[in-house]
Amino acid sequence: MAAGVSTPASRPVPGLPPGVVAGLAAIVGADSVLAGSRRLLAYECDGNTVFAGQPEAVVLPHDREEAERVIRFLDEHDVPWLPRGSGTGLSGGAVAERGGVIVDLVRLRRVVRVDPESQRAWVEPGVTNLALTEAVAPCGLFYAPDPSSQVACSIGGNVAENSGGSHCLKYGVTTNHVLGLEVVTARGERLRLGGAAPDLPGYDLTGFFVGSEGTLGVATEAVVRLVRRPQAVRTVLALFPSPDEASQTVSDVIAAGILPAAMEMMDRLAMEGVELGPYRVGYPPESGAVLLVEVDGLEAGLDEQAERIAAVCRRNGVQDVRVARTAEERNLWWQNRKTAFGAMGNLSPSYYVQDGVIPRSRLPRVLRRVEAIGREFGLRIANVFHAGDGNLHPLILFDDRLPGQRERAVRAGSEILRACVEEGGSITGEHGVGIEKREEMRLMYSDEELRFQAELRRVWDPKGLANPGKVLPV
Amino acid sequence: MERLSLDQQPERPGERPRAAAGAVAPSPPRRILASSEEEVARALAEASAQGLAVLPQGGGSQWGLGEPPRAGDLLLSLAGLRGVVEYAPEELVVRVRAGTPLDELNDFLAPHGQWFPVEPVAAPGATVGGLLATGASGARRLAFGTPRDVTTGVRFVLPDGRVMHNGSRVVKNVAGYDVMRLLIGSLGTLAVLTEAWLRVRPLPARRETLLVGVRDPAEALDLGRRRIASELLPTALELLDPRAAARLGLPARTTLAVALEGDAPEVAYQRERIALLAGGPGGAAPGGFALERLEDGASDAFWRAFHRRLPAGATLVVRASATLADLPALLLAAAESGLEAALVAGPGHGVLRLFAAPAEEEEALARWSGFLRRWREAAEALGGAVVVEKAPDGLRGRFPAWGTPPPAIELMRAVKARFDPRGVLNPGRFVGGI
Repeated sequence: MAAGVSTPASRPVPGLPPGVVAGLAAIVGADSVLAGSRRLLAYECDGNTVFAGQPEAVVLPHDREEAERVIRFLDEHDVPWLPRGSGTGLSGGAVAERGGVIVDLVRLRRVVRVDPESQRAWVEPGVTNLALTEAVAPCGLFYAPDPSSQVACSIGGNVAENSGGSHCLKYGVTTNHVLGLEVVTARGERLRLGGAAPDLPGYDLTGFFVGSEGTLGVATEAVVRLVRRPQAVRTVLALFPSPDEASQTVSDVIAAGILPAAMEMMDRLAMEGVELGPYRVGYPPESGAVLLVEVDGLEAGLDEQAERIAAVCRRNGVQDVRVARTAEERNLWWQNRKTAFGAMGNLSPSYYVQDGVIPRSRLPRVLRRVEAIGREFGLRIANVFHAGDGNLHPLILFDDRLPGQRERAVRAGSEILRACVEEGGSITGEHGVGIEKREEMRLMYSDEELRFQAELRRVWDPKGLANPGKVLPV
Repeated sequence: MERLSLDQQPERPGERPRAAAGAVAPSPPRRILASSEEEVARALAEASAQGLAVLPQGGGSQWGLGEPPRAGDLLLSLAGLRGVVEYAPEELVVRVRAGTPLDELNDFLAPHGQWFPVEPVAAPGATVGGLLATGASGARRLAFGTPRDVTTGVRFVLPDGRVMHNGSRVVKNVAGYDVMRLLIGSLGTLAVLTEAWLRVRPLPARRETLLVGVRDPAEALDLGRRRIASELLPTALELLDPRAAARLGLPARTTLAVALEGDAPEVAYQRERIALLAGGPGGAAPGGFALERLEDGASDAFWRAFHRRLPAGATLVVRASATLADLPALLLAAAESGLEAALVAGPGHGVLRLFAAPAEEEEALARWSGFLRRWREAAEALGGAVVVEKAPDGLRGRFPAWGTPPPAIELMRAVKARFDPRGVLNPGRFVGGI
């Protein structure tokens, strides 16, 4: 058996066994089971439009008891299935590539409990990331991981993907904020992992589950850490002639002993894209890179920190550097940055997002390699980075109407990931492996290591029914 | 039985593995001091083939954590796997061998203006590998988290000798399954860690500790949690009961220790705020508070003593944990138990420790085990836990180290079986007899 082959994904699912749709309907009600191709169209893709596949059916449980019964039923009938949240994922993780049933958790959307004193919340998987932060805002708290899609993406999806965001440089990613889970394993067993209290005895199954992309089971509740809103924030916007100077600034800020909450960068092409969108900042045409640096914490000393950052920018040939004067100005800068992916639509009929990670000091070198890859494949590539943690999002622009362009874009993406790994980095920082990068997993791990990971997955899912064919090479 | 080939390797003088002061180390018939990852792999493969029970050891400072192993044929010391492998100061990461003492790591980092701030509550000698294996932490978890938050990659050896890695040097990485977090806190029952990539931090320019004397634990919790931790950003905040304070050479009164570590302006601002919140600077203040201020070197020395001296001087160390809302109940139950123990609790992180030296006689042991059982029952009812980090033999049989197995115990057993099907590593030491 080749590395990672652990699931029935390698053989086609010819359709559901008889009685499955009726059986699911008996659990959730007939109007909560979708079958028939027209109604399933919306479930063909996730946020990554390169990969598509139609499920045989979609089931929408109303609560966690129904979710448990659904999964147990699918296990008893050996039906492959996959969980889905808001469908904003970017690696094809929520795509029913080879059919099967999608378990859509959108209806499990209660914030079950908030304990402001303990800074904990218990939430169901369908709650959106932003809705959680809004729910706890009156207590002066927020949920720290903030993917750019936070308006739409769900906590369940964040747990499955171990999502990041712009502010994880200081605050960490999803796994640093999820302390416990209630899950239904692929065997249909509902279990509590971890909990709200610190240092609970036992293996860190919560840590293993977060980021497992729906291949072990599905989370029906997450116990999350809430973070106190910082007393004060300073946001610095700096324009540079090219990404080289901006990259050097990123390294120098860290070297100066400052740990910003976020350090985000966009190159010229990405800037052009967002400037055509609704959140125009007014970047001058002679700027080749924009850097957004945010520091937060106590009011005391924060102006000095912002000034130190500005000084580092000046030493690196900054064209213009300013600190946001109002909350509106800060919000505009962030909206401008957070809508960068979608803004590529202003530049190109189609685009393809990648998600490599590199040691941040290698940024200038990797950027030159990305540029060379673009030339080699004859494609324009815009770059958006979480520069502080070396997480690159090259946006490969292509025209889907031209034959061969999509394949070229995917190949260019794969080359970029190879370059990231060669520089000591990773093939994915926050979007997950999904379908997209499962072959590239071989760049990170040996066959033996991949086989061992597959064995660990089987502990949870002996039949390989949960989200088959994802994460590991097939 | 075939002789284990590494058995013949002479131990280097002065490097004989031994447990740190105060910890009760097992003494298996054979000891191996591995000096490379290959040697670890070879030793494990051979031990596995022979069906030997292997006890991995870093600094030996945490032998009391959990149950004593059911069997132990071979002590595998990692103390020879020492030193920094790779260091990228501009990336704030360091790759280090598992047997490296934490002190050595920090001595290495200091000239570069950086440190690794996760210091465990443990006898001196703790190593990187031991820290990760035990998942241990101390007072600075308030600001910097626990080992699972500061590790980005590991290398490890499976009991059958296969060498693997998981994660990498970059801080953001979601490629594949998170085997690393399974290993952190697994107490050496799944695999033997040989290397880790750790996140390091810039050394704070200014370090101060404020010691605030208060009337009683309830007042300390109120000041610590409701006033200081809800507004300021201390890097450590610990409540010491009078016995704990006395053991650290302070006046025997309930004391709140607050570490302020950062740039000068934020440290100064916080010092002033705390003086205000605590009822006035210096001496006895209207609210009955008194402040003492330790600066830089003295501040560092206080926290070193806090982490090391308390456990080293005790034969019984018990950790309780609960959410912040539930912590006061556990603290007050211990404070009012009438038993002679020193208590420290983190009103900002929810972990509480009790240090004692019970007399090894029937009456004392019965009182202790009675209290600990009730305490555990209360903690578990609140969703927390009580775990033994060190205990005299006489108490072990009366009070199990781990308490009620977690709901996912069967899944944990299945994970153990996948890593270690022959039960070679630390048999019986972990949760649920794993």
